[in-house]
Amino acid sequence: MKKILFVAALVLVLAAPAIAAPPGQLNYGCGLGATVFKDGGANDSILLQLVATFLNGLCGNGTFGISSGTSECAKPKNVAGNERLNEFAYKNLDDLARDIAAGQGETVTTVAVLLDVPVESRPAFYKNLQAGFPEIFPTPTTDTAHVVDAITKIAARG
Amino acid sequence: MRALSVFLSALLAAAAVPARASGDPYLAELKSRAESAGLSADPYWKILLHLRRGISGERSLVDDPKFFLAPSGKTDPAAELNATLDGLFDLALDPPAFCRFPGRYAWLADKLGIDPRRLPRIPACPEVDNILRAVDARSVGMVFASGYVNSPASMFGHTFLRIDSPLASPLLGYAVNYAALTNPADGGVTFTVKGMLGGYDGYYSLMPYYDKVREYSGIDQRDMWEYPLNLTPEEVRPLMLHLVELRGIATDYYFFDENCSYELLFLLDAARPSARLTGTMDRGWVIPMDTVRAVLDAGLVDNGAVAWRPSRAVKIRHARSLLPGRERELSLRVADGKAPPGEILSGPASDAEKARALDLAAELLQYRIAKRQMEHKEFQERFHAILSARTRLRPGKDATPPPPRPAPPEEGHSSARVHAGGGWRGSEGFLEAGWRPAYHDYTDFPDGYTPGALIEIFAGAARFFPESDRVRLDRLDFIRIQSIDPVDPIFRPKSWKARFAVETRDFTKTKDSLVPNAGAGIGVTVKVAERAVAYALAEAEAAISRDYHASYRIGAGGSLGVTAEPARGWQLWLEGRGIRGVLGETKEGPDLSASLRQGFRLSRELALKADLSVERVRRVARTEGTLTLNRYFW
Repeated sequence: MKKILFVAALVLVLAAPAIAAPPGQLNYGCGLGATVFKDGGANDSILLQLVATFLNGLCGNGTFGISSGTSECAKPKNVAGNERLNEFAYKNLDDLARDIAAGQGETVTTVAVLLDVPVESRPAFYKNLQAGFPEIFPTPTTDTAHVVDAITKIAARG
Repeated sequence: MRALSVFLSALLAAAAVPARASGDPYLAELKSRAESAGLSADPYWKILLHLRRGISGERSLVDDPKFFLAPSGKTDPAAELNATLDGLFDLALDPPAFCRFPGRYAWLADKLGIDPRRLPRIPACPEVDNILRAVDARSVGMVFASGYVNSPASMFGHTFLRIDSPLASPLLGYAVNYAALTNPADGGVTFTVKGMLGGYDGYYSLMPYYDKVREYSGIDQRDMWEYPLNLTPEEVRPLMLHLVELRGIATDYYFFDENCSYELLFLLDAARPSARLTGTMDRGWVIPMDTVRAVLDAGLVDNGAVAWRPSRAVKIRHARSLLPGRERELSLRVADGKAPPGEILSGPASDAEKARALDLAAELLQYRIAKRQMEHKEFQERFHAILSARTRLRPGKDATPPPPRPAPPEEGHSSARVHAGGGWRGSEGFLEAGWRPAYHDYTDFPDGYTPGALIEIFAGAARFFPESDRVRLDRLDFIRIQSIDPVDPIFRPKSWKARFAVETRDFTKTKDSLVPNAGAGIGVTVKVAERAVAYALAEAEAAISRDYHASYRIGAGGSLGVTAEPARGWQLWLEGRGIRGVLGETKEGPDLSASLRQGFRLSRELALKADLSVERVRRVARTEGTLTLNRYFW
């Protein structure tokens, strides 16, 4: 009996990876889930979700390491400014910090696009961002609101 | 499942018959014009309704009663067209019909020249306009995320669309995704069964593209291929309108055919109906990469503009390979907090090497947090320190060069394969013919496929032995998966295999029979040379046959193997395997085998295979050799 149980367990353990869905997967057939579904239910506002993102305004409380999770934008703050930039910075803060520190990369290019920095002045803008790193990220817990403000100031200085 | 949902849909739809519009003369006029123009049989109307020809005539693939205004709309396109026209005049509908179905109404307005002033209310829809304005769609790309064998649901890869606005950054586009809404509480078996049998609802969704990039290349370690499509802004608009009318609409999700990739084709057909993409996929199963090929074949992709977005794992491995030994070790120690970033700065390396070492440390740290291998606070502090050190080095030119780009997936062999050939077994010759609807093994040319991923669905072979006039189903693998992913100092993936099959096994010198069996294994793979890996797996196997003592055998054992590419176009797979019965039949073991399988690429869709094996089963030893010609197609 013991032997039977042992072998049964062995077969199960070995077969587990073949049939187990990865934990937290919300979606069948093609990778991870569609995070647009709030509260696990689909409703008419699936597409509106997107628009709501804009209306939510700013996620000022985002810090390093947030974007690697699946945290939702929870604390709208009423800070005027470029909403798409706020949203982008919140969701991509880690990558953005890396590109600012390196003075180049896809996310700083995206920031330049969102701030309408002309193509010919972008190399200088990236250089200024790198030099301004201590100003943009004064501490390890700097939040998105501060980051966006600092970047906007640097862009305005030209 | 399906019949029940159809019945329920009918019931719900019957309950929700819209209040009949008053006998408006303009409505009657529109209906008669639609009828004389034959609009309900128009190919575009069929696209809008997701009609597919089935056994019982044409029916819509959409299962949500909300998608139909006529009770019989799912199976009756003419009734649905009339009900759609009725909707324009039905003031009781809330939201108004043209807000629910902007794609249909845009098309009808164009085909019938509808005069909005003659409608009871102006067909304007702020909600739809807001969505369209927010996305500001001008162009569309198709994105293929490569397969990820350690999640079976993702092993064939995934496709979605990217909608681009005039903003010149791909990250600012929107991903259009079709996916099943699953219950995270469902276990693996429930998940698999429901996924195959339509037990989940699939929905279209729209989300920022950077979310998808983070999900696939950042967290999931999957490469992405981005194919820009040559759709014009005028073609993109109907695609968007159709997408909007699919919001919140459920369709039963079927893993093999009505899946993520197939459903996207309706959107592309809405943009360019002449491509008839949904019509190219009537074979009972739809593989994501095949839909990309269909899109390429239909001429929707402009050559040369395909972009590759390597996953974080690929970037880390590449960055490590470029660094001198000291910096390679140091970057890992810095990422793990065992050395301060300043140690990289003060070292003897060149500025470029220092910059790359710090970039690598930052990337490693991001990998760790994405995999939940470290605390959030620890991440923040270390990440900040590494980046602060990085700012001491000049911007721009010292960055790590991108990894070399692999062959794009569409250049790989096609997903289905047939083969024919012959060989000998023991002292007898045979002829063999075989088939494999999907997908790839270690003797197939690897370009375009996920390295180390073997996936075979419904693959089999039959043999004819002329001397004894026997025909045998040699093997039929319902499913066979093997993943061999080498471990290194950073990544420690498990290697594993699973197989459900029937195969002909010899029981005595003269007696064989067809044996259903299921097996699995788990172990580890290491890289042994530039293009060679070796693996070791512990295995268990259960087999049933009257010819076993006790009619079954549950065995344990293992396998050791090597896969290699001695030269381009020459694949080699060497494996030794042993299984000993521990339950049922236990006295006849162990079964031992050694095999050498080789593939020689003749062209993209043609290969020669030569297999040689020696085995000792139930104390009888045999050799076997086969030579086959293999043709890939689809």
